[in-house]
Amino acid sequence: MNSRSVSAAQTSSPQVTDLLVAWGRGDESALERLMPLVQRELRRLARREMGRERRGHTLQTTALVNEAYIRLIDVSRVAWRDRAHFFAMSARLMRRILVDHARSRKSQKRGGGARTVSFDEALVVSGDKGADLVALDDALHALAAVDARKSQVVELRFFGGLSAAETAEALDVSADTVLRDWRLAKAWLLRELTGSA
Amino acid sequence: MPTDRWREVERIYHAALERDPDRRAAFLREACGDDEALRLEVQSLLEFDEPAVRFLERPALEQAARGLAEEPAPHLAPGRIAGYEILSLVGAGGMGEVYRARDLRLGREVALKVLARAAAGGPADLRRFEDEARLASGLNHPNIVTIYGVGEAGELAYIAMELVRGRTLRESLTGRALPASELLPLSVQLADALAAAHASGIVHRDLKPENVMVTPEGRVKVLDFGIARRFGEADPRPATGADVPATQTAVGTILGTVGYMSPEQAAGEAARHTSDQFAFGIILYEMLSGRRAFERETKAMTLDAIVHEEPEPIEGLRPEALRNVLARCLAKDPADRYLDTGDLASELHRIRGQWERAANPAGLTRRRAIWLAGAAAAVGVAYWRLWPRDRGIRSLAVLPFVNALKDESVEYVCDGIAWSVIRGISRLPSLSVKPRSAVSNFKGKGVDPREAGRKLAADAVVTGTVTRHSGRLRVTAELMEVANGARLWSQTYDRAASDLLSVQEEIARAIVDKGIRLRLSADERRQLVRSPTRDPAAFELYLRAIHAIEDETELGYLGARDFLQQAVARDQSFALAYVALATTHSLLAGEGFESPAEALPEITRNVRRALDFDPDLPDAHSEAAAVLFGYQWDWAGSEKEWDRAMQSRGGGFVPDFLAGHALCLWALGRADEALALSRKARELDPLSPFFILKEAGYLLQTGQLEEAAGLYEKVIGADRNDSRAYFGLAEVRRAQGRFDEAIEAQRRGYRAEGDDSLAKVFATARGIEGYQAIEKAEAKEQLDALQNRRARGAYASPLEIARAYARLRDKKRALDSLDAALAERSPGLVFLKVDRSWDSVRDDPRFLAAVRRVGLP
Repeated sequence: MNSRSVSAAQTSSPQVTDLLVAWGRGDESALERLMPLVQRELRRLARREMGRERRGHTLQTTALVNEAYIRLIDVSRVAWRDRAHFFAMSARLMRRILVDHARSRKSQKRGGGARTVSFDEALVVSGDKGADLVALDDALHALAAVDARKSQVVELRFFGGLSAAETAEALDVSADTVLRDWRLAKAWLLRELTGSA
Repeated sequence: MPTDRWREVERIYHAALERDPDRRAAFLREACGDDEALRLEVQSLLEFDEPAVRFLERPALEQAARGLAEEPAPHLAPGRIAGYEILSLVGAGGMGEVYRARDLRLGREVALKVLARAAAGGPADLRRFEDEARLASGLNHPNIVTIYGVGEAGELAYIAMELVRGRTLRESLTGRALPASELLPLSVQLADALAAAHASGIVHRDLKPENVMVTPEGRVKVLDFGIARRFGEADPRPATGADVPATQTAVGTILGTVGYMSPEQAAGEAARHTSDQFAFGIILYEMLSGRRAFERETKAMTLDAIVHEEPEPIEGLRPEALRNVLARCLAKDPADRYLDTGDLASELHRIRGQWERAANPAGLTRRRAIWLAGAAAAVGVAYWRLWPRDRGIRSLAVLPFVNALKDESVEYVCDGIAWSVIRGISRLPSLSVKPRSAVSNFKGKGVDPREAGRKLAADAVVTGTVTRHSGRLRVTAELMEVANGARLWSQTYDRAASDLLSVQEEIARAIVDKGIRLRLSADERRQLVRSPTRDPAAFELYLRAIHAIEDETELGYLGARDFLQQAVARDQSFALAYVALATTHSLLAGEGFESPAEALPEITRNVRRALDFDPDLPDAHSEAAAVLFGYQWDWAGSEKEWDRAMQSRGGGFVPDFLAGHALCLWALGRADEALALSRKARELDPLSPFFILKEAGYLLQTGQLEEAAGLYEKVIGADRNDSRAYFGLAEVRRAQGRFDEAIEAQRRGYRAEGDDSLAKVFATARGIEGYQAIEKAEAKEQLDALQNRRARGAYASPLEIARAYARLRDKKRALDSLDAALAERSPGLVFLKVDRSWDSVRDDPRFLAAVRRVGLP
């Protein structure tokens, strides 16, 4: 049941676009109203993608994120400076959504909510370390203080689902630089999260 | 801004990585000199280089998707909303989230479709949406998902609707052409749904495979009738210039549902019933070919193709007759499509009928019935074939009404009217009305009424025709005296389909008063004018249900169940509908389509209700007898109910009761008594092959083999295509040890059914081994079918699985499955002792324990 046009019509509204533009201009309160709308759309897409994955496809994250945006936002009405800006916005929004989500799940668990689905279980981000998104978010803030670009590289690749080439375009650096940043950032973050600096 | 020191860390880090790991320590010492802090910083980062290889490599969303997908929307965490308890998330529909929920007031489970009010548009839009949903909620059809109600709760708008298990047609279409055996039932049901909606003035407007659910049993349920478009139409606007019309609003969206749009919709015109036909045509095309008729690279090109291009012809289309249907549905000009969607449905019914007869001349259920060796299936079939009649000063036969224009959409009226008249008149003790089973032999045959009357030994015969003219039904009826051919009475009725109740009542009264001029006592007159229901719509639903049951297929039973549920919802004192509902569940469970756990409560509840409103209803007592026998294993209690059924007013000596009762006696090992009852049934109805076959079966069971063979030959003599008789004959020859003859009889049975699935086995089958090979192949075929059922999520009877294993001599699996059957109290367990399928496990202690558990003598 992926009636794309209908749900696009359902969720795409001037409201979403205006909110995004406002947030792009730095209005943080717009984000508060924007997030539930994007979350709902993402949830819908994620479910559809999960269905596909069960049938043997793997999740196409970039496509998923882009589709979410395209469906949510009347792109023509937004004066995106360029593709790069769009990528950056979407990655940042995604980070906010996912981290907020993880945070609320954590507090729910502490509150003893009887939820059966463990979001944290679903977020085993490394092969062996169960890093959680909230801690990762904190670590990324710390990394940004040391080296803002590396923090952005992680945001774009990990939260935005971008490839190295797309990340390079978004940051206006070479792909090689992105790969070097990525490698160091990952080691830095993992060290930070492991707490053995 | 990175500090210079950080720049240094970074530079040394990457330089170190370019060196072999065992030379890095030396390199660091050299590069950092005496800055020990710098060396430690880089060193510690390098230690995490290797562990971080897989770290963060799978994007967050990919990981989160799993959690997101399983999680209900935050505003609908498990809890309550407006009288519903949210149970779980079913899926994300095109128009919002769908939850499984419990209606706290009525206690039933529903599907709750929820969306934020903001998404539905402004207050006016919401009101319009609700109006539409209410309109759609008036639709009662087994192939349309029923809308129970709509409402708002805080920020949410919701629709409560029938909860359907299954998947969408989109998921069923996997890019390949569907075989006719799948495609025809689907398209017929889909067309039926459209026809019913259009008859009520409701257009779907957004028909597409995503909006069509298919249950594991293969039933079609159309979603979002009349509301789909409204939801998507938050901002309806006319098409202008290059702007893309209709449901698209977001720029740059991916190809959506334009692929199922009609040319007139593509041009920005309003959708009409013919637009739904066009969408149906595209779906039909996709089912036939495995590809979409007008799919192009971009939406604009697709729309252009819809308006201007003819779809590519389908090679090797089967059945070929569908080509014409396709052409009409996909006609660019709506005026070239079907004026009435009922005609489209009729056409498809006709094509399916033809195809089925060609593929399977004798009907599958026949072989199934005999092949099950008189077990579970026969219980249901036997019990169903009962309609009370009585004896009197004169005898009367009411023949099935003739469908004069071969219009499939009035077929249910033809049988229904005749049977209702039979039922009404046979309540009169002073008139003998021929059993329904007997007159059914004349169905669909252009017989001379007098000849039929003579064969049935009736003094007078009622015949009639049913035709449809511009939405109304025309029913003619006539009464003829057999001896002299005199027409005693005739009448034409021109009525709406919803007014059938009065027609059958008027016919019954006119036959008695004007035709036969029978003088009735006051009590008899009360009996005659007593209506089965006061609600004409409920009566029509009842007639449709009866017709659906006659199909003797799972889909038929399920359709009947829906019709009957709607009928009793309209008239809660409709005793006949309750008992038919009980029978439907009895058939479903008896034939292994529904679990006893689901069926039994339905059967008992509905029998009880039927008896509450009509304590003498013979069918209710025979159904009660069946429940006591098959589920409660209460032999004595069952016996009492059989007696009660026979004594009920209008019951009389009904051949069908006798056949049902005989089956019970046989299960208890009393084959002689079963034979005696069966003979009595055949005396009352000498024409129906069913009773001849029954008698032959009991002759076989009591060792009177040549007599049995004689009766089977008699049936074959009357109808060379009656496979049941061939299979019965094969049993006789097997019992006689004449295996080659038994194989030959089997072969003919298969040929009569047009079934060549065992052709290879037959080619080499000789003697006892050959016969066993055939039986084994049959059992394998049945086992495969059962496992397929289970695999696609439908119920598969453990008892039937056990039987198949027993026939394959896989004792372990047979006994394991038998345990499962015992646990669910499968109604077929009562045949454990008499059904020879169990021979391979008969002496096993576990089997003997099962027999004791059921309490068989």
